[in-house]
Amino acid sequence: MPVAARAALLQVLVHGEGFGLDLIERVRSRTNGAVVLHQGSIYPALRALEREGLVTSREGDPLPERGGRPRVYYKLTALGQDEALANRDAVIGLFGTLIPEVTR
Amino acid sequence: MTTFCGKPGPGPSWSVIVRQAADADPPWGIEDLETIAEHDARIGLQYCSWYIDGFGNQVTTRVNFKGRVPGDPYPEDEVLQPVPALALVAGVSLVGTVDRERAGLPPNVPSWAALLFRIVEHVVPKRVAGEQIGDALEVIASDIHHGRAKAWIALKVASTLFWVMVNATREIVGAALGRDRK
Repeated sequence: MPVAARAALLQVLVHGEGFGLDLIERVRSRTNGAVVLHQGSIYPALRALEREGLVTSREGDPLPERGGRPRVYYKLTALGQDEALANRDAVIGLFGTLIPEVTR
Repeated sequence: MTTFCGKPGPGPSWSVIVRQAADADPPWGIEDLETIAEHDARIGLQYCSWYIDGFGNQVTTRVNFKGRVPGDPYPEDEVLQPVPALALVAGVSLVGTVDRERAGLPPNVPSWAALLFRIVEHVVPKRVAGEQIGDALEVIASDIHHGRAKAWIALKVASTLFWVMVNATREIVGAALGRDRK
């Protein structure tokens, strides 16, 4: 998994759980477009984070706009919170001031 | 009884009509397709040639066409064969009756896209399909709502199908190898 994608996902998940589309948009907006995740990268990245025990997932309710399919929400575990905090400096180094929440 | 039509004369091909039927809201059923065939025959576009009855038998032409005697064979390459025709019409019916009405498919997502997703959904892990296709449907519905071009939508559908297959392959191979990648 690319370091930038992994670090960016951990940082945006610090601010609450999210699902695939939502996380793509949050990463894009909070890095001012410096990191753009897409279908080919975000789902494997989230699965990898889940396998590492850094995030957990849950299915939401089936939604009509998704043809009755549920969203899959991800949130950080305690281990993930620690990892995000530990990577905070690295993220600041990667993105500088592009993630305001991280640099504050 | 189900009617299949070839394209013995001028006018849009049968596949075009099936596509129009699939894109209609609500999608047309078998009866609508039969009506179209009969109507177009009356105005001289010369469609239908034969139909398959409930027992799978090919039955003689039931609609007369300009310049063609009922029962005349049509050139082989102009007639949609029964199996692909059945697949097309069954696909339209499947999308129309299952996805939209029962599964609540977003009304502005093209039925052909829903059909493709539905086919893929049967061959990839449930979680991969549900998550990624669901997300894609949300994006596609939003893009259509914002007036994106049909070509863009088609590209979006194609890229979704590609990545769903790639990601599903990763999952399956990873599981088969018992790999727990860190």
